[in-house]
Amino acid sequence: MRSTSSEHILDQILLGDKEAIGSLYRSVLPKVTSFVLKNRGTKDNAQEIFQDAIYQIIARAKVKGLEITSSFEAYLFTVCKNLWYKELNNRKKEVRNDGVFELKEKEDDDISSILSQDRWDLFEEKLSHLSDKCKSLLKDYFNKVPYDVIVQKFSYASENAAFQRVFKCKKRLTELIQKDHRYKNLLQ
Amino acid sequence: MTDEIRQRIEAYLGGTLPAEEALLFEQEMKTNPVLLEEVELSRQINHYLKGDMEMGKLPENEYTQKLRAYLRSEEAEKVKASLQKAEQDYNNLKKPTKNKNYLLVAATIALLLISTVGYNFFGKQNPEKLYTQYYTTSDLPSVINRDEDASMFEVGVLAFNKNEYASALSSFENYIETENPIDYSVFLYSGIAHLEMNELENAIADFDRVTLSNSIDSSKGRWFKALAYLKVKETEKAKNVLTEIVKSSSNFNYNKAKELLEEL
Repeated sequence: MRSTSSEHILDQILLGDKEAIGSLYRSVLPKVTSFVLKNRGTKDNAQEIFQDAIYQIIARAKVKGLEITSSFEAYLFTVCKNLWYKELNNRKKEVRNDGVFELKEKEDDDISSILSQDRWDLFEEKLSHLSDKCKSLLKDYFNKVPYDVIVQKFSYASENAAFQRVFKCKKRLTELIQKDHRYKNLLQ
Repeated sequence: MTDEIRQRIEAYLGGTLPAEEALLFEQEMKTNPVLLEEVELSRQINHYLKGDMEMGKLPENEYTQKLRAYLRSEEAEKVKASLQKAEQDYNNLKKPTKNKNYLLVAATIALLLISTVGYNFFGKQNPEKLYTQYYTTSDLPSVINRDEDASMFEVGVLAFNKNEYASALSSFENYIETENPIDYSVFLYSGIAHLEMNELENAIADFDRVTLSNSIDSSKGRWFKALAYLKVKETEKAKNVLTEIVKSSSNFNYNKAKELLEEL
């Protein structure tokens, strides 16, 4: 399902409509800023990823077209959140490398973020094809919810039964992703 | 891909594979691209389910090449520039009003002193004082809240109302450039902003544009032009413009123009 208002906003920003871009700054940036501030970032960090997010969305739409099923504002917020998580992961890596890190070129950085977001969109779409139980089981499992809690919550006979179920759900998700032709371009 | 291998992948990623087996597994990945791909995908899915994004090596394929080409294009450069402009505008809009009140009060007192002295000395009204007396923002067209989404014009007026004239001017210019407005109100605002920044020529040019337009506000152009000359103490020029205004009673501020002429 394609959201018509998202399509409209996307068309406007692709045409460089200043009003549309300005209105996104006013409606979405405050939310992004409050998210980044709550997650070890600054106001400047928020503005930086916000600009990157719109820039990358435009590049993706221009190069291969982009379908947004939610509202444009919600999607933009998701992209910003993902970019911020990525930034936090990078920080960890830079520390781990003991200060010896290469400053990746901005272009590589943009492309890598674009690919990550493409993957995220694809995974999200495929996950929606699984049963509700599978979805929440997978999320609980990979977010390290303890086995005994999972066993109780989903009424499994044993921890082993729970693990078998997680395994099956993930296998299904993996296969759905691999079958999709878009996956080929996103391989690392 | 057998279930057995998938389970080993899961154990490897979950860190539950014994150290020796993990080493062997890594050796195997190096020589088996299919296995490597499966492990990578599995890792990515786990990251996705955890709700974070993973950075990996960049593949080189048709898609990434196209992206690279786009990001290096002039078009992408323009996009970047317009986003930077949008950020600037947003930040200007959000900037809290600087506390200029003390300065303003001091300046007003100084002005009053000077003009009183001027009045007593010359026995005539100081034109600059007349300007402050006759200039009122309520003569300006109201623009805020015409639409739900603020236009650059409104963004500019917000800055204007906070006496941030430079920022207001950049918004007005932007608006004029992109919208090519038929509505001439923006030139009134822009003219006064120029005047406040001591750019008389630009101010006059803006007011003349209003005068020459066919809009309902066109006679306001002359009124503000007269005030502009008063502000810079060019009394003769101000008189000439006012004389034009009093030629027709349908002109904006016809009565005030008459009054002013008498005082000068």
